[in-house]
Amino acid sequence: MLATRQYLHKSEFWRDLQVLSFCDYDADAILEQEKLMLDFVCQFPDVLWRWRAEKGLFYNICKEHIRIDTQIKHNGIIIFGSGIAATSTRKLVRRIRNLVQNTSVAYVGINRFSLLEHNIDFELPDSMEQSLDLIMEYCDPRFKRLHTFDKIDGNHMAYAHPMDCYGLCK
Amino acid sequence: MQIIKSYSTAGSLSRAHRLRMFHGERPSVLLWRKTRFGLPFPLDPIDIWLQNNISNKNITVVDFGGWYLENFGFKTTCIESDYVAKHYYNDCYIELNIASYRPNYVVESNPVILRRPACLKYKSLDDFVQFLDIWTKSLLILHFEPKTILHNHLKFKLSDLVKDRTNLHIQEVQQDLWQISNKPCKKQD
Repeated sequence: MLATRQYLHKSEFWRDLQVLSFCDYDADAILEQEKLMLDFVCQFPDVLWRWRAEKGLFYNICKEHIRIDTQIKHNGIIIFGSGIAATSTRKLVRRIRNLVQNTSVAYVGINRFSLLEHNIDFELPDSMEQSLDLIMEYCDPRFKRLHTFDKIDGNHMAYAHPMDCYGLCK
Repeated sequence: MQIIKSYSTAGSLSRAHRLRMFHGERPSVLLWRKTRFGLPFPLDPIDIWLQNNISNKNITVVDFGGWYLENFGFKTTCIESDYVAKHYYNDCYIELNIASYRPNYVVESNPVILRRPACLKYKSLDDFVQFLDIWTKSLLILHFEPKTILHNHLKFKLSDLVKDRTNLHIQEVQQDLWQISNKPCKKQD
């Protein structure tokens, strides 16, 4: 318990602050959207993953389930949070294309609230979910949305892990 | 493996975290506390706008620790959504369902002011419009981030979507500051 409290004070990660704030949590507690990610990446046991996101408690949990490569030999990539901070759709597409070009599989979580501007020359559908689906299809037509949530939960989880997440399998 | 499906239903929060959340959503409270030790309260541009543009000084301040405005010529009726507020300002009313309930004791002619309201974050467009319809009896001042109301902010402007759904008069003073009235607002300089 002491170790947890110490971590809570030291942690700079919003996600960890939120999860550890519950009175009764397990050490391996994860969010529903993180479970989607784990389920997706665990389908590829032979893949060496590159991690482009915060390295908090969830990173430690993932290291026990998948092989994460710290060198440059990876053939899969996990991107969300600070690994993909983009404020316009054009920047987002350019970054994702660059990051996934040499990989065979990818997991990408998009924080819709960090996107402020659509500046690619095509019209978006009316719904946000369909718009993000189209943008990801524009990155690579093989991207598939992993889940559609009924609602964004509370005031906090939206910034803990994105709820718009996509899997790419080439 | 424990899976947290919903923040609101995952279990009780620790007291320390509740306190952290309360202050995170109401930065004015810590600033107000410092005034007890002689520091002046640093009014921000929105506070100054309120001072200059709200002529009725009897106001209702909702869920932002707005009692500090008492020190700047306003008489406040203060409503909060968290019991923690009572520790700092015992005169405030606690209402747990601000988004869809307007208490009867709120005087209809008094302007209502909300700043960065947590109760509206990630609400659907319909819920947001319902909130505006319920709370706007004379004048409502709303300082918020429009993209936190769930709509396609990459394609639409929130105010356009809202105007299509209500007869209220909405004036965007700036992108994050709306003046809403049930009759046309006076144009600001």
